[in-house]
Amino acid sequence: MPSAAARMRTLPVGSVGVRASGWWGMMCLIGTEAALFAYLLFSYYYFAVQFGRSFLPNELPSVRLSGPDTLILILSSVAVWWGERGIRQGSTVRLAIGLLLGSVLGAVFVGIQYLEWLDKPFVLSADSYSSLYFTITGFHMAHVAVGVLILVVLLAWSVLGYFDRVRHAAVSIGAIYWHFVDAVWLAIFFTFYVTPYLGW
Amino acid sequence: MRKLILTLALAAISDPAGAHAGGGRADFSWSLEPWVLASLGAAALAYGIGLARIRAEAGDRIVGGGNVAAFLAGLAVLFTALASPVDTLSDDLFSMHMVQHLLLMLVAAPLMVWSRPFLVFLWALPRSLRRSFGRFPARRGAARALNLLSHPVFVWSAFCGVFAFWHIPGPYGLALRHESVHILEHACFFASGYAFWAVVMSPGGRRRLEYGASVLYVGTAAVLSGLPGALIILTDRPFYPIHAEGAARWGLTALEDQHLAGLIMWIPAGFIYLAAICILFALWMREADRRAAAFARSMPTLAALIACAALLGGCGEGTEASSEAGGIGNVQRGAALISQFGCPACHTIPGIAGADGLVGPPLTKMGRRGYVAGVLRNTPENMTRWIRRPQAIVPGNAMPDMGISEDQARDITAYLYTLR
Ligand code: HEC
Repeated sequence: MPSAAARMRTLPVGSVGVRASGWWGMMCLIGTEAALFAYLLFSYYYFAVQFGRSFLPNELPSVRLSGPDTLILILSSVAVWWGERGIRQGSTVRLAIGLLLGSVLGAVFVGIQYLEWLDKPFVLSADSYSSLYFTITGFHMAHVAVGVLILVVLLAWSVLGYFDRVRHAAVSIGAIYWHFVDAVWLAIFFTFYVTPYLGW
Repeated sequence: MRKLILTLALAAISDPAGAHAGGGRADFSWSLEPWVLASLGAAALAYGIGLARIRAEAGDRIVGGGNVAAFLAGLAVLFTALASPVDTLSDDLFSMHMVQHLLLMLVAAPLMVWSRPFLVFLWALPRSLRRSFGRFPARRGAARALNLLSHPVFVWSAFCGVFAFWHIPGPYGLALRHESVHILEHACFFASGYAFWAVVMSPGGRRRLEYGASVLYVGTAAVLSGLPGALIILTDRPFYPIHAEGAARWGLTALEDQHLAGLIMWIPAGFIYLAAICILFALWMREADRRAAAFARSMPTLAALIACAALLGGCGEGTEASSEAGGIGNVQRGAALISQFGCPACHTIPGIAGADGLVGPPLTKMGRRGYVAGVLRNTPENMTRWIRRPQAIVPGNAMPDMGISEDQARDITAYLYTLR
């Protein structure tokens, strides 16, 4: 029986499994970015406990746009997860569909976020709440934008056939980043849209 | 700050009637609620029955003195938190409430994890029920759900989330006003604490998370759960007006009480996390030592094999390849261990001298079977699990737990997997 390597016509791309150095690099990146958001959210809570209700805008933030937006981001995570599961079973098509859905939903998220920004009656420099709002959601949007870029690159690679059942470390690494960005959004959503209603 | 702590200490030791500055009487009584006492009593009874049965069948190898001591201590801490003056006082003082929460999450929970309650409670059931319950976690859907629910990322988030959520003034006030919400709150604390510590503690010898990752897991949770404490300290506004009257009874303003609570949340709790991190780190180092020693010991064998390979050419190569079957363990050592532990008395095992026992099923073609003992999927992990603790998987079956170590079980598995 010819060995696996001999049967392959082109050389494989990427390492087997996910514990590649890229994976560790991503873990470290997630560590630093998680710390960044933890500090940003802590500053929000710091102001909130100092000033109580008067810190918040008169009209409490509504979930009209942000609620569906949150759902969209969660769905995009599910899509990427589904695609990654697909490539683990060797289905490049499922991977491509998952990545496509994920990146489109991610882009829609950014679009709706932007609408919400336009909707706000205040600007960045109005008060401590508005600065924090734009800084935190802005940082997050930047992370989503990077994530969409990553997904698009992965999509291109998967269409070019760089991935197979054993070699898809880049997909797993990119997916972890995407799930992380979603988890951060859930924390931000809870902070800005839920805690104001929990009583101060 | 010192004045504050002094006041509280004085309030706690001196005659309560003399300590209060505001109106009302400072309540220092026990809160012996029947349902708390009944559930603690039921837990103790079930543990006692299960323990007696396990001891009768397997001696003290599975549940040792340390586990029992942990159970008793855990029970005592739960009693202190829920039925002693700690509970009564926490109606008055936010700071005492914090003590109560920390007792539930950081003291009672890890003690209970160490006592292996699920295993022992299982044995308290009658044999037939035990069998079906014992097999439940091995069912496909159940195993998946359990796996997901006990995933470190999920448990970590739930632990930190639960802790932060219940200290937000809204939910906190709700819990104080409604007894049922209060019970739910405490159940959340204990359950999330139990799940949290179960990830890093391994009374049964099987770790969910490696030591290095465990250190990070506890460390990050420690830092994060210090943050609400910091917020409570860093403000000049009392968040919990509901405690104002109670605090006054102990000569504290609501704000002083709140600052005290924040410090308790931050510093004593920090010490507990720190202790856990130190222990995990020490165990990590010990494991590294043991691995290095085992590696050094295995070197001569390796050298001999290489020498053999050099001498015999092709033959040597074959031995070397088969001696580490798929990186599971050492096949030759496995074969020796099988004889040493007396598996041949119960099993027919190809390639092992005198292995023609008829008590258990024959282990022929074990490397090609779909299931181990009909309940676990046949993977190296599940096989080592089964060999180490068959009683935990199918309680009451005839194959005893024999005190086999993880490494030994791997070697045995490696041998069994050569049977194809
Ligand atoms: C006292 C008798 C006894 C001894 C000693 C014993 N076993 Fe067993 N073993 C059994 C019985 C009975 C079963 C079937 C249990 C069941 O299916 O519930 C079994 C099942 C098994 C199975 C699963 C077989 C299958 O068909 O799926 C394996 C593997 C196994 N034993 C390995 C070992 C090893 C390795 C040792 C030695 C370390 C050992 N046993 C010692 C009685 C014993």
